[in-house]
Amino acid sequence: MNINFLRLLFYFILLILLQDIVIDKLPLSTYIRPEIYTIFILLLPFNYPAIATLVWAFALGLGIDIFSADVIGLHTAALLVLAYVRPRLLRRVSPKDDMDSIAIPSYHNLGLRSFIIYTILSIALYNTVLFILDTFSFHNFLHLLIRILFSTLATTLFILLIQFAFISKRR
Amino acid sequence: MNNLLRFLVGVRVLLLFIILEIIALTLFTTNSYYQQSVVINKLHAVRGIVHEQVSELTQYLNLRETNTTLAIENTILHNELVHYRLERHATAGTVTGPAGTPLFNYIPATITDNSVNKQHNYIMLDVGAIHHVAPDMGVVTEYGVIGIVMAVTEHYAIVKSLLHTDWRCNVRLVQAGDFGPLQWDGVIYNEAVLHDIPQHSNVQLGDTVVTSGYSSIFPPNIPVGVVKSYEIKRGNFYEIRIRLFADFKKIRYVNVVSFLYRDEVKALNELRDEY
Repeated sequence: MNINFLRLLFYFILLILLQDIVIDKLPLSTYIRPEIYTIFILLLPFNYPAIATLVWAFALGLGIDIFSADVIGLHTAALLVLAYVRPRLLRRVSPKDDMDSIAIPSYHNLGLRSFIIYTILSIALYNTVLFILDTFSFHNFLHLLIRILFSTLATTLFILLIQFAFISKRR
Repeated sequence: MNNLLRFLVGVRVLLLFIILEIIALTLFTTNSYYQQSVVINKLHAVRGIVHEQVSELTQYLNLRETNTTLAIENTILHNELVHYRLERHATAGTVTGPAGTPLFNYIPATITDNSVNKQHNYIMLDVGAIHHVAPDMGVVTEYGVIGIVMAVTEHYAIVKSLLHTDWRCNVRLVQAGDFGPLQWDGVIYNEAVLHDIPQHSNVQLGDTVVTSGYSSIFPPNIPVGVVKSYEIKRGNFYEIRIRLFADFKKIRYVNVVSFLYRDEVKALNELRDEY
């Protein structure tokens, strides 16, 4: 229990630093922003308590807001929506009943197809909330759509890469 | 009974979600200057140390390019010096204050953190209150306007970048002579939009845009960019796309502009606001 918490805390800090120091420094356009920290919420175990998921999402959002965004509350609000919807999404994509409670929804537990659907739906939802709040208007609707689309694809790609790279490791 | 309990558990999650979401949105919508300066700057002092380490490394890797930029900047400054020496008699009293002290002082600074891929981009500088940097000072390079200082700690300053969709900078078209607000529309990191130029104005492609000097923040005639395209939108005003001279992905060394009579102008503006 305690070990699990410490391990999560380690990934928590690692992902925030990685996003701030490496990913945000990549020379990408305004349209693309891979949000690798979302993998933290995506890969929490299947039966992780909903309350704890929300608290983690709140903390992670604040961490990202403070460390790499300078707009307090923005990523927090979006991550909370993702955390709240996550169990419902997981119920849709996971195979019925045969999941043990500490397993994580990784691609070899879900199957590649289900995992990609799960990731894309989650990240698209997250990005939609995030960018609408960030832009705070529908004035440039086309740019908003492109930004959501590209960032979702980039994030999904990065999450898949991380999955392939650390396939043997369990979170 | 069982159903009621299950219902309550479900509602408990929803309640927590709503409460946390309200906290987040309240923080987001009331992101005032005060909050920025009090809460975030404490954390930025810590963050500054991390970023300075990373920055030091990348700085080393970019040495060659930096040297070239510095050499070019040196030349430009030399040229300007000659220019001013020649013009000294004609302009005495407008670029200098009493006893020849310059009206605008430049404080050299290095960027320790920067971004271009958000709608609200901020830049962090390695200068702060002990270097006499204060909020509302302009930040420039030889390639134009970079931003405006938002808040300072002892050793660091947070700058609202030109690439911040809420910020406007007053600029002037050199040939047409009209001036208007330049604002980033959040789309491409090296283009911004100039508004409020009247339709009768003689706008030309390639016309240079410079700072207007109608403020105590930026000195006049700092080059900002060139006209890339223009069209008439909503009534009688041009909407002009400006290609910025500054490459916000590459800038590293900047100057903070400190105006000699800053306090005086500020006091006067406060007086105006009272009436």
